[in-house]
Amino acid sequence: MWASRSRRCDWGALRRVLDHRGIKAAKHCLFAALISACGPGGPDGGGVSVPLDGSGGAPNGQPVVVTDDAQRRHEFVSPPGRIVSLVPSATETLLAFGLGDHLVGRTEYDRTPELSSLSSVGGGLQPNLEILLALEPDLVIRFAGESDRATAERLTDLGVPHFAIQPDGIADVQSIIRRLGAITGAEAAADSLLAEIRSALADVQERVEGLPLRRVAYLLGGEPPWVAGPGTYIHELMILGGGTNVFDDLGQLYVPVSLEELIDRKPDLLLIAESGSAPPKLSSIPSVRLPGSIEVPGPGLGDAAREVARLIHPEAFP
Amino acid sequence: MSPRAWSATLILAVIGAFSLSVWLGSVDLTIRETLAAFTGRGDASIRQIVVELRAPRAVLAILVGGGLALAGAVFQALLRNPLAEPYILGISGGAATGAVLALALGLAVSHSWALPIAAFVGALLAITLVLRVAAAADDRVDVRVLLLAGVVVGAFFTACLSFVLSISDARTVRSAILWMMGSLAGADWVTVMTVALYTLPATLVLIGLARPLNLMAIGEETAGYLGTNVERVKKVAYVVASLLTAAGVAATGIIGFVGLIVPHGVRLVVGADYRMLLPLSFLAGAVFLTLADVVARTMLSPIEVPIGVITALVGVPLFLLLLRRSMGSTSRW
Repeated sequence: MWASRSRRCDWGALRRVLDHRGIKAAKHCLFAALISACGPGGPDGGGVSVPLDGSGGAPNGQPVVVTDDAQRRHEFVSPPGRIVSLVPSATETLLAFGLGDHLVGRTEYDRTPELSSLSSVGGGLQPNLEILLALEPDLVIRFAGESDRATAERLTDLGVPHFAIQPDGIADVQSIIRRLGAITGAEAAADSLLAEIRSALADVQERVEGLPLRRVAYLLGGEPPWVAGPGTYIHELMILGGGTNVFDDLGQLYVPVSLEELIDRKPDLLLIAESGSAPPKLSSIPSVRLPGSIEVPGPGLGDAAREVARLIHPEAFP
Repeated sequence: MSPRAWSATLILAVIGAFSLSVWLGSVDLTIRETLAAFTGRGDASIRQIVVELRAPRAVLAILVGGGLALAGAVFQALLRNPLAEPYILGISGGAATGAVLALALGLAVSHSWALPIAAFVGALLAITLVLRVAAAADDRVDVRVLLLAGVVVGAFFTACLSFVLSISDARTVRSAILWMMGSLAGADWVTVMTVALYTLPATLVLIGLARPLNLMAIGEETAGYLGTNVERVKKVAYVVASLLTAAGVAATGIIGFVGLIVPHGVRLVVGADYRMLLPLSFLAGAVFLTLADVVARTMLSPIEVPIGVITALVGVPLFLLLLRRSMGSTSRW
């Protein structure tokens, strides 16, 4: 009965992109994360309390206490040794910490060759619970939010510890890196990664300072095209890179808009997702395709910010 | 084979399908490990996989598959239309609209039971609406009006559904599409118990209607002369079969083809006597959906194929084969 109701949008592509990204639930999460994580030199509190000697992993029996993005409090007496990350950006972060050997599973979205020998639990949302259980993880990192409530409930029922993260914005990404560092006893690696990111962001900010704002739209693909509104990672990267999102009044994260509306907003530049394509009817507007690596809100944040800014203001990156 | 032999075979097949379903999955287990899990011995994670993940799923497949096939058989008898299936009277549209509303309003986020309840309420709404329309003229239920009203109510709900989806955000749309493709992945023992609470009594009631349905197959008037309360039978059959479908839809989303193919398949094999057709449809539907779920889980592991895809891909050729074999023998409609 449902065949006749198929919609014209490419659901497969959309699902892949959405799966990849983790989808934002409540704005208050963002605010909480902003307060706790924003800016260089900000207080390192906000959801994490670690032993003062900074070596992490509770060397003196002090448990590490971390709050996740589902507002659940976790105590880690020792760093987890068998981790399955359902969130590609968290997987990349752990790899950046040099903790690849702590990962015991992967998802279909982790393309790193380093992980190819591990069992895959399928997608990051609605993972295959059977395989997940058989991997006997002592920590599962999952997407927070509404996209996959069932998995969280099942994991709780089955007694598998799960840590929820929501890498939606620039501040979220930094907060997650800090918390993952605390949990895994990799504070030093986390700190140096964060310092690197902060200097990259500051550099970008400096370069686009004073340049005229360019009007930008981000197209996810689909017919009619889906665009990104405020609250999305790419929106924040656009703003940072000296642009304005012509759809900054959207009440939702990603919505389909008509071509008319898109033309009416007069964007100077269309950023096209890796999986999407520029609508042929809009060929008069300059467009550029983003590399897929930009869309993973993880340790590549600094590079992503630089790349987006370079696409918006090539003149600032000679 | 005699009807009795068919019953015995199908009961054994249900047991076989259940065993296969708890044994096979993304994680390879030996038969010994599977058996050990049931007796509480063996590795803890294997025990969880078998007892908490696979077993409730297998039982849910038996209940929902059996329920859908039985409801399909009853609808085909009631509407005297070989194209009738459990969703034909707008139940899927009503259930889907309820489910999507629960998702769009964010209710499904705060309460995990909100989605199945909303789907069930949506289905009830569609059922009531259809019955009210069909029985509006006088107290008699005209099955042609029932059929028309059902299809139209279904179309109406589908429009509501499309409207809600078109103004929803990507997250809601994604969850909705997944739900509408149907899946047994959410099966836990609470779901199983809830569905059983509807399915088992409904099954008994519907199988109890076999004799009047047999008489009505000859003609409503004849059945009336022979002492059947035709109007009551029609209403009870409609309401109970609809409830049965609604319970299944609420728990698993919309799983197509089972309710259409299985009863016809059974009819081709054992004939049109509803005293055999109804119980055997339940058993055959249970076997079919359980096996389809095994395929859905293992075919592209770790990814699950939507079970509706399997029921159609496997069911349709199987059914066409049966149809071809039976042609030339007797016409059994």
